[in-house]
Amino acid sequence: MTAPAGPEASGTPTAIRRRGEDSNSIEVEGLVREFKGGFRAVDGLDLHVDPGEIYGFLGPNGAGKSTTVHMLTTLLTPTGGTARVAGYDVAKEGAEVRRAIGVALQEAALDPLLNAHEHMRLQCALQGLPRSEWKARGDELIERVGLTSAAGRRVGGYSGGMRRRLDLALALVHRPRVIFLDEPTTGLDPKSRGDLWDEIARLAREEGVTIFLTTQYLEEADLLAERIGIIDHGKMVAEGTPAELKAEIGRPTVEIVPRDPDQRAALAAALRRFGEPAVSTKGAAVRLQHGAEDLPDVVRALDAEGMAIESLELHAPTLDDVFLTQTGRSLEEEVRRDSGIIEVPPELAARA
Amino acid sequence: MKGFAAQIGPLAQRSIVRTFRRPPLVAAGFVFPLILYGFTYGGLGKAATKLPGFPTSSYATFALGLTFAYAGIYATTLAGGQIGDDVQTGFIKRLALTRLGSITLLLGQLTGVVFFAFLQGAVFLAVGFALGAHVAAGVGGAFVVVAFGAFNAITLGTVGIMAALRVGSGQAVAGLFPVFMASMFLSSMNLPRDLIRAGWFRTIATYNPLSYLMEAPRSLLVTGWSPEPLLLGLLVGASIFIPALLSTAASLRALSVRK
Amino acid sequence: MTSSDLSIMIGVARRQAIRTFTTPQLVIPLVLFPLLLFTAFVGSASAIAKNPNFDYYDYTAFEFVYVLMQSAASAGVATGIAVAQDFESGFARRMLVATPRRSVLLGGIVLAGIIQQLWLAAVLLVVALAAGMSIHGSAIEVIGMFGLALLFNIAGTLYASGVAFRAQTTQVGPALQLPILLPLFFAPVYAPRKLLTHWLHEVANWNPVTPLLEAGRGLLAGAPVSVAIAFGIVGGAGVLLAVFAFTGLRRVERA
Repeated sequence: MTAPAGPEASGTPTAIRRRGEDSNSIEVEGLVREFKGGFRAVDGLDLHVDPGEIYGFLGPNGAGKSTTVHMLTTLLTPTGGTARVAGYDVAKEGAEVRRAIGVALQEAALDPLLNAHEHMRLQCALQGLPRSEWKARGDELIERVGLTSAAGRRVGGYSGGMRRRLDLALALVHRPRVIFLDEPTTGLDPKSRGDLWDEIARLAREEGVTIFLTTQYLEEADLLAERIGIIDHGKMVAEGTPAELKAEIGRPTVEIVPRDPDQRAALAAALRRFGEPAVSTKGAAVRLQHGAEDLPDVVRALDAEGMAIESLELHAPTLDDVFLTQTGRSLEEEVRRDSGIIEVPPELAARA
Repeated sequence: MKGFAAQIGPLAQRSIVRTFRRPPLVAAGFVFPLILYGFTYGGLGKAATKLPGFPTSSYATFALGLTFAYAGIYATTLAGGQIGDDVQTGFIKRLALTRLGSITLLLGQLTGVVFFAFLQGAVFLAVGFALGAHVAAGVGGAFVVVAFGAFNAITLGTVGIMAALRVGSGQAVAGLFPVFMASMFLSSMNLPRDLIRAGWFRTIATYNPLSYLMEAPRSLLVTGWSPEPLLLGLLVGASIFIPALLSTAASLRALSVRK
Repeated sequence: MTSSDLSIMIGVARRQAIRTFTTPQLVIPLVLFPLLLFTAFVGSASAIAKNPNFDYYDYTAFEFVYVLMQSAASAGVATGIAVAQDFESGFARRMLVATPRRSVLLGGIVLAGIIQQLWLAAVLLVVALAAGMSIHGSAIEVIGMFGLALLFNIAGTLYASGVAFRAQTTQVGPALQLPILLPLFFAPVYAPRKLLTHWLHEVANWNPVTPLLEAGRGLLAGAPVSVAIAFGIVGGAGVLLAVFAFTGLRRVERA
């Protein structure tokens, strides 16, 4: 997996790129979507995405990410608030919005019976590209997403990663100014995920496209997004650059693995006085109340209790820490639970 | 208009390609109606033509009419199933996010179905001729017979698309097929309505729209150019098609939140 | 067979029957299709009885026998499709793991098919009698006709189960029905054999379903014909298909 080059790596400062491209922005004020029965999937959302920016929209399943994307892409009517995409009102100027955006939704919406060339031709026609451009544009995009050798095969036989890449290529057919990617890498293997990240980063860097990316993967948001919005229960709970958000937390986590696995419970109890517990599968972890300066006290306390240590690691704050602080829940835990991964009890893990 | 033509072509092409890349679907479109035709013709051919007042001495000609009604019934599965699959896979959202108009999408989908119905019609006629059937209305009539099969496909295919958009599943639309097949068995499929002895069944067949969609092409085969069954077939077809079209267009508009 | 085997067999059959009769998607087509055919055939083609060469006593009774045999086969096929569904859902594995002697499972499946068939035959009989069908055969002859249908049902269940054991998917549904429906279609359905069009007459002469229908019609009319041949055909097919089903089950066990 390769980490994509961020905006700084391109050598084009974000502030310079933004100038004169205001129509590529996304402006959302008090956006609401209430479903039958009064359930508010999105509840008064405010956000702003600058032109050429990669904006990561982070949240667990059911937080309101996809509902927001559906509203911003005109697939769902907002029941309150306003939203402008590429300068157009999503509720009143749907056709103009659709002309300006490219969308790759959560389910890679492809026809299993068509091949990549046929998908491209169809998309070019539907997006109103001149017929003379269809082949060249299709071939160019297929090559860009690395599907040239598979382009003649029916999509039904594609892997998840190939489908996602084709989906992304189809979203780019009409050279959109704003791209919405709804959980583009969910369910992909690390290699496919890395490839897709590279392409997304390239789009923003080289073509100045604004990218609105929803994800439940913290790593993805951390690596790709210039700014991140965290949504929970339909409301924005935090927003900023990854660095800003982590700086707000400021407190690192110390994770300690005892030499004797049976001492995990005692270790966890000993650490509790230094801050709130954090997730650890091998030993025990705690988010240090006073930051890294607590570390010598931790070591002394364990020494006093005669506890032998296998390893000790100091982790800088992560986006999950941010999420935990804002919502009281761990996003990583929720994602793991939603994807059916069974948490092994510490005793069993230690025995293993 | 240029944009409309540019969009409808690939859509129709997609519809045709999707159909022919599912060989079981293609086979079912030809084999089952021909089995039904053979079964009806073989079972009733000798006995029915001896009935006083039976309009032709060739039951192979009479029974051929049912295959053109079947073309319409099959179109519900074909067109509805494809749109239902698009709803399930999310492909319909991709279409909704383009400049595609709802009527263009509908027509594109139906073009594929119509193409298939023409193909079915040609094969049905060829098999009918091989079994001794004839077209009383002549060569021109044969073309109109096939065209009527396509008309039936447009009419009932639109019903299939309407159902698919309402239910949102290709499998659910497949459930419509037995309903239509049941209606076909309760129509004037086997004998002309005036020769059906059971009064209650004659009433059912008279109120069954499929009787008219079948009798129109059959009249061209059996008796030649007679305006009444043709007009009745067109009227009944239109009375099914127009509400289904309006409902479909409304559903498609709702999908893409156009204002 | 031990009492434990018997209780497993009854348990399997009971579960299958309850599932069929409490699931509208299963029970409605099962009963509606034969009733529809009966209504359509009797209603649309009863004029055929006016043909001087039509020598059966009643057109409703003539079609009743056809629909009875058709429903017997369909009920068997439906049972086989249910087995395939169990494989898709994983429930079949649970049953295979839980049962010491797995051949008993097949007994339960056949029993379920029989229960469905008896119920279906009763519904058809009530409808036919309400539609004015008269019975000319004696009680023994009528029981013989229903027995023939029951054997046909068992053969259908064994065939469909054998396919289901091998394919383990409901996608074989259409392929499962075709070998049963085709012989049923190309038989004397609307009219006796002598009134069939020449080519269908030839096909019907070789069609094993033809003696089955003629024997059933003869028994209902009180004038039995080719009864021994019919029982021989359906019994022989039953034995062959039992082997087919058992080998399918063995294949599942080995997998």
